[in-house]
Amino acid sequence: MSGGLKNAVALCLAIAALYGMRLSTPLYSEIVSPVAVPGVQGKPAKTARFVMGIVKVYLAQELTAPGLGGTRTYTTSGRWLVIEAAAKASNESIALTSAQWRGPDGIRYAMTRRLSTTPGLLGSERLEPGIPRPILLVFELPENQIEGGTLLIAESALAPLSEQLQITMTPIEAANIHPSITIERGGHILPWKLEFQ
Amino acid sequence: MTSEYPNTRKHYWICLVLLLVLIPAAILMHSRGAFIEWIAQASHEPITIERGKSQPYAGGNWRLVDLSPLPGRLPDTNVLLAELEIAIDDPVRIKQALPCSIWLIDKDGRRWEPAFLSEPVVRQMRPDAVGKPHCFNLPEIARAGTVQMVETFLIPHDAEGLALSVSMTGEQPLRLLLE
Repeated sequence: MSGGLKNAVALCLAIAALYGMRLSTPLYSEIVSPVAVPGVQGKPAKTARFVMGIVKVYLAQELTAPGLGGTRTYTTSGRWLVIEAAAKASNESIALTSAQWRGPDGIRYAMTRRLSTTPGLLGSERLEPGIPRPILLVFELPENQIEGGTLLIAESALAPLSEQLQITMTPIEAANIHPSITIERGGHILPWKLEFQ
Repeated sequence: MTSEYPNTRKHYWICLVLLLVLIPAAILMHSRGAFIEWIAQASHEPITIERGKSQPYAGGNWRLVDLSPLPGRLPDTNVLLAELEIAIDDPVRIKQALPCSIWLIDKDGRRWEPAFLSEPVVRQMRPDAVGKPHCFNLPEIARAGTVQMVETFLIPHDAEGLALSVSMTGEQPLRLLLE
């Protein structure tokens, strides 16, 4: 092989190597994104700072919930996903404030803000070590983004490199799919009650 | 090889030792003091004070008067009422050291933050404690004299070996552990 050809091959290899490195270099947003902690529905999922378990998942076309001016009914062109869960802080008092639903297409949906005064919603109560507390999560989702979705829970959506629970959700049982769900105020232990129609 | 480059091995070890010195030095430089601050915080033992005794700290004498457990509104929980007394002799220093943070710590190292609002059980069983200032009220109440403070914590029944940790930002890494 002549010297010129050798140089050309070496140059091509170097360009290919640089291109490969360029493609495989993570973006800054990926480097500082939350650290994923995998979990599955049905088993308690644990990070270094909190433990969480999914109790029940419901689906409805219509949601009725208490608000500031009285009870209101919320309709949607998609579906309401209502998740009953329980969580506990591990070593120090914390507040869980970030919940997202990642659909099968990778699209992320924040928890709905239409029900801001509903009792027991994630973020409404601080978690204390040794005291498990029920948590209610409500998402408004397109129908095709529900099955095969993942629930993402973190202390804050803005804290880089903090842990984020990524709970793989199982398909919703037919018995838990309803035309309408009513959320009512509960007691001290369970701050809400669900009624189905 | 050894005869051709007699100092190769020596240079290798010198470079290795230099790396061991330079890499931590680079980390130290880039942390801009935060690393040293973290080491100082982590390695500093708190000033431990026995129940009923007082300790000078941040311009005042701090004393834990009582830790009273009250029944919690949730199953297997207690509401712990912590009563503190501060004899303030230097209000300027205490104001300069603000803000203050208070935690309840148990023997397993679990830490509870004070509750935002007074628990209903405090109003029922200890009405004298309602309305007393909290740690976050110190900017308004820090003047020469004795101040009574209360904090409430929601804790599980199994929490044992409880102590109150008091830390003033301006006095760090010094902090009090009132047993």
